[in-house]
Amino acid sequence: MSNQRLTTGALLRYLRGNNKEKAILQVVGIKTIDSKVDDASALTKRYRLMLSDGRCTFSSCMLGTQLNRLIEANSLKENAIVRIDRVMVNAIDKQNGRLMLMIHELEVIQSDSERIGDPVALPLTDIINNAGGNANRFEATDNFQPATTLVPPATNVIRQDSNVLPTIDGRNNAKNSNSHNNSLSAKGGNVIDKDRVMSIDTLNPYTNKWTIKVRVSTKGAIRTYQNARGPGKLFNCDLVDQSGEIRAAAFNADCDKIHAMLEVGKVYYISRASLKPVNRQFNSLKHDYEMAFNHDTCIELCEDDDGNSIPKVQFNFIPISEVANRAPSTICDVIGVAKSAADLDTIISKTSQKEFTKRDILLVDENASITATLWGKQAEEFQVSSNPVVAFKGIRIGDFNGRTLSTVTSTLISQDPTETSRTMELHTWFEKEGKSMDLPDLSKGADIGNQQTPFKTLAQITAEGIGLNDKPDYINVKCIITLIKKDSAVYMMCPQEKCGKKVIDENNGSFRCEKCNKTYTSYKWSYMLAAEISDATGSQWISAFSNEAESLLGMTADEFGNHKLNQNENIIDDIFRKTTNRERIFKLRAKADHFNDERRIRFTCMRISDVDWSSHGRRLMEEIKHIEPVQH
Amino acid sequence: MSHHYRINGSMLQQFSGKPVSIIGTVSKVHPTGNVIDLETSDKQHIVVRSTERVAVDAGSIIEVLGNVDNRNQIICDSVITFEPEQTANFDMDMYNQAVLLFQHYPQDYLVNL
Repeated sequence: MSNQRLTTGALLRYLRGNNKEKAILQVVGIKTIDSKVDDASALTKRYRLMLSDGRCTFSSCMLGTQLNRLIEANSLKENAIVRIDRVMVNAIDKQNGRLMLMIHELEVIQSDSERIGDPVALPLTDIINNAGGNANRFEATDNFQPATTLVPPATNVIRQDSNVLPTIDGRNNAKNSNSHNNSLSAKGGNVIDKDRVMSIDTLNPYTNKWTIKVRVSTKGAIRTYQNARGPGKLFNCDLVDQSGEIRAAAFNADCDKIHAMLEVGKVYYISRASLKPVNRQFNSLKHDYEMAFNHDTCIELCEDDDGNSIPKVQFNFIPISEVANRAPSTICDVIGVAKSAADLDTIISKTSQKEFTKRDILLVDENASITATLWGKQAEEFQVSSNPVVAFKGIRIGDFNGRTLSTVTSTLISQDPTETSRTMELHTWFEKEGKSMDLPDLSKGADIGNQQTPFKTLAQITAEGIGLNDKPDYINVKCIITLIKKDSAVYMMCPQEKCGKKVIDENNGSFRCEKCNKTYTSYKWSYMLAAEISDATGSQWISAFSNEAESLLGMTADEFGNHKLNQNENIIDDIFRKTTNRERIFKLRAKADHFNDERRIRFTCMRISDVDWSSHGRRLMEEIKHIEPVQH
Repeated sequence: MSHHYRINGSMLQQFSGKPVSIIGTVSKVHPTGNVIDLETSDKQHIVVRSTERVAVDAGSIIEVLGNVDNRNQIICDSVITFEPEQTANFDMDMYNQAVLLFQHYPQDYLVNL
């Protein structure tokens, strides 16, 4: 097979620093790398690929962990053809040609294939000779700074156990700052290399020399702990830049020094810290890794105004309605308008007899509302002024009466935050319509439209016992109508508003309603449609009333009633035939009735809508992704 | 229905000589009317050749049934056009995902029935 499909020469071009190309390559080898950490959090494997461009192979290609599922689903395998969508080059040792490709995004074009061509390993000499010209560019960041920076007086440089105290003497620094080659090692110098400032989101354990410029957004207190190795202490802090955020910790000896040095809100250059896969038990930030300051870590305060471009905090908001889909006791970030706030409340804990102050506020966004509880100082200090936009970072989800939010000591509360465009959006929305809207309140057990209603097949109804519970079940099904009971489609209803009872036709122009105990001279037609719906797995009879039946048949009950009176059989048949021609989404309420020992499940149609094929496709893809690993 | 394999631009080589169906957006119609440049669901650009003039508008979505020749072009037997209302909400990316799915599970998505 010819190799014209692979992008020949792409591997060398990537290694030279041209990482914008989206090359088509072939996977010729996959290796699993075990994580060296010893805690239970190391569930994330790391895969190393050998890639071929048809002519050459390169074996140091690390697959971003967010792509691991492709290998586990057997989509990305040996001989698979892939398209590289985002790649970065890391230099482990430039001078000796030791480079590495970090694959952040790729798409599998073809899983199964024959080996294309007869590629040979890329010669080291090619990499060394041609990579030299791009020495300062390969880490491809946007913050490319001029090569010869005179390092400003290092006021807060920490170099563990070195004799060099923070010095204003330029001599020591000048010696190191002008030698800009790759062997600017930390041993000789205590200087941050500001040429290599990279963004937080690209930090990984495989980059050898990196520097980040970050703001400390939170700093925890020093805590002590005990583990198998004895007692220890640590503190956590969150570091933020324009690209994202990452948690960092300092332990034991480093703990005190660094805790004293870092101040919340200030910007620092940081270099040389360990990176390991994130421990999701304690860390809910979005980053794949977390940082540990160590012996070699260099931290330098950023004095110049450049620090102003670093945001103070990184938010990862979810819409309030999404809180319904999250598990209780998990942490999230939300933002909304404080529509109302209760007075400060004091409660006494039953267990500890301690007093706690709290304040409930009603938080609303465009689609839902929820009760958020503030505690202690945060409750006391909350400004009860006119409907501010409030952002919560790291607030806990509770499940009292549906869903609630509750602050914890580490929760950050920000009123009218400037870091996000949501503030302006919410203010504008609230002024226009939000303040008078009645939104579904998650803390009052509201069911947010279709979001929580799952899709089922008709066969799943019997298989899963839907409708047999004490409370009614709500499901969505995608079906077509196969039959409609013609005779009982409409009935004569009592004209009295809200009565709804079927009246008895006394055949003399009078109509008797037993419920109202009155006789009327008129009646209203009302729909009580019994229809059979079917999908690929089975069929089910359902009832549809007023609005739903009207949208289904395309006419009001009165109009239909008239056709019935006039015995327009053809027209009625035609109407029924037209409804049975396409698939729709039916939202059903399933509830069991008990009739003399007999249990029948009644299905009422709550809503009928057309299939949005795009959403439906996405739904199916999600379901397929969930079952994929089990197959093959 | 038809026995054509649904593919996207990147799969042309693999299906050389086989009957295929490709859906894409017309990027250009050559003056002769016999050659069409098509942007496929995976954003590749391919060439479609036809023996007769094909009446399609640039920017419209079409389905091409034909065979892949040895120059990685499509020799088309027929072209299916759609009403604008039909394609207004067509999710090309979702279609591309479906095509990849068909390739990934050939035993579940049968072609020659």
